[in-house]
Amino acid sequence: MNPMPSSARSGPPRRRGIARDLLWHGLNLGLPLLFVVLPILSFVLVSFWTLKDGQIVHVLTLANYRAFFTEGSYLQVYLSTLALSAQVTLINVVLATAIAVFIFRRTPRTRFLILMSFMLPLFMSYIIKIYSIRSILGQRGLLNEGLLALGLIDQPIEALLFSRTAIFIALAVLYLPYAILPIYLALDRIPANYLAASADLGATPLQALRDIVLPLGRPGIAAGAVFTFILTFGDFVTPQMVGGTQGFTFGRIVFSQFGLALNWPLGSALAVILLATTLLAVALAGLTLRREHVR
Amino acid sequence: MNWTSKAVAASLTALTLLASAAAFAGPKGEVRLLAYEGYADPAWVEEFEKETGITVKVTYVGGVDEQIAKMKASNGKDYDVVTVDTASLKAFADQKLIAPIDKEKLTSAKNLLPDFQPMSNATFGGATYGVPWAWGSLGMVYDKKTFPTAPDSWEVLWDPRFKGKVISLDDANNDINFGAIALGIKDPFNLTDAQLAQVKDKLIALKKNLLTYFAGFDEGTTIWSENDVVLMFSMGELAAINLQKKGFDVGYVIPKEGAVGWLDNLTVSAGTDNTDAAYAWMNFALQKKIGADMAKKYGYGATTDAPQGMDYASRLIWAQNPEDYTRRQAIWNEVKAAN
Repeated sequence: MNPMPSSARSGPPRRRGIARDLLWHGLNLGLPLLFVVLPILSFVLVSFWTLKDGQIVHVLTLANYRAFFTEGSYLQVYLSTLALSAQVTLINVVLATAIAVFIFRRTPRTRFLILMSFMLPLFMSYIIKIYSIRSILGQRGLLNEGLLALGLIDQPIEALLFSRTAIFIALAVLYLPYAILPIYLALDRIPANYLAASADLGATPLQALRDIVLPLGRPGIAAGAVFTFILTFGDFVTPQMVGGTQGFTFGRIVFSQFGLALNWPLGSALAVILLATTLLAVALAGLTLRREHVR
Repeated sequence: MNWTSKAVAASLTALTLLASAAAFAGPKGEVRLLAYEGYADPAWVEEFEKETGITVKVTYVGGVDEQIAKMKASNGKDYDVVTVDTASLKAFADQKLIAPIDKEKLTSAKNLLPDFQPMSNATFGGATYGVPWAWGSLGMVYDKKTFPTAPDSWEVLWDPRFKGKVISLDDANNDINFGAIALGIKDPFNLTDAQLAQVKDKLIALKKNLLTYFAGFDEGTTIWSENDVVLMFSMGELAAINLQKKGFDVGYVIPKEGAVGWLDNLTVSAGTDNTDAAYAWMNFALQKKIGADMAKKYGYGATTDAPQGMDYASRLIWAQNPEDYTRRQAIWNEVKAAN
């Protein structure tokens, strides 16, 4: 039983609309700014500081970036990690595309089931998966014991685990679902009548795949490639756990600056380089797609 | 009931609760411990409370940084007994967070084993700041089938005959200590540039013989059990104990060059207002039976009771802070990046 008219309480409707718009825009811009951009900028800032006698000195310098290019083995580890990630990305895109096409070819009812079975590993903890991979590849692991029992080998294969090959296999297995999902989703959006029409016009399934499915799936393939690359390039746990003495990657160097070494400025600079590399990968993927649209 | 009487009832309940909490602290007050896991076993606490009427309140910390932060927050007023490792003792004393030990009140000092009696590690500026309490080492684990007698030198880890059968702890600071000790350098905590370069080469040479590095007790044991490993630069006695529990026939040895040891001390907080309770706990904890129980339950060496096989305390090089953590991390990264 409020005697006052509602407009008298909250101002004229027009002004209320502007206020609400402002609030919305403020939230839309402000939240990402506060929770994403500012934290990133803060570590960009730290990367220009330096360490003196174990204390962080707030003087702007390029010393950390110079160290990356000139000192120790930072650049060498960066390049070898880059090569490793590129290899994993390549193999995963090929595998994931094949799997996505395979799922796409099933009847709509079974598609979901197969897709879910490929996504199942994502529901499991990352560390458990690494431990499982390790117990499969180990010298007394499942694979070696199985081969020995079958009489196929008479000595355990030593090079399976704790090698660069092991890192490669583990990363590919861990990140495959992240490539399958976007590629499959892109294929799923291809209208069924495109394929029907191409069949009517006499295209073989292989031609349909080459001229319709794969070109239309390109955004998904690019997304899958970017996901795989970013995740493998920054991973500092898997290589360490399965790579043995070869398990030292760029992510590990970044990580090592934040322990007892307490070299946050150098760690931040290396993290900025890591971020720039992944942004470059995203930009590269975007560029290939744009060219596709123009044509 | 209107709101005022509700509020009165609520405050009365709260007051009663507070009063009962205070009453719970026992007639002789309370002793507040700042300790690492395993240093205040529930069974000991129960026995101590029954014996003395003093209530025990334990705060566990995970590392030195956390410990210093907690002590500095109140200048030690929140705690009575603090366990401090030998390497950090001086920092605690310099910042006046801990008080010198009153040896008159430390009646159970006589229980200490001869190696620990002098308390020389904890003495500076004429005052003793800590009583040795628990210790361990970073020694070698070896497979007894391969080595019927324990290897006597760290050099065995570099022996090409065991290529791919050796694993090593991955810890920048401790690996550099280890490399220096293997080279026979007397003070592994203060290395010159030339010595650091030598250590780096030594560790890179070891890398060629390694199956892998590991971090943590569990990882070391898991890798050992899933692969054909016969030697390990370990994180401590617990590595061998865990492997023996899993049925592996392994031994633990401190080679002739020595090994890094860690030693935690019981200290009295500078901010305590209940010194008697603090000494009561220390005297209680420094009994032989408590030490023996700790060794059995947690695998730590006691300073009052020599656990079976742990007869090497005098050959350990007690850990100190190194000359430069940042530098050591950079060198360790070089070792790990080397081909």
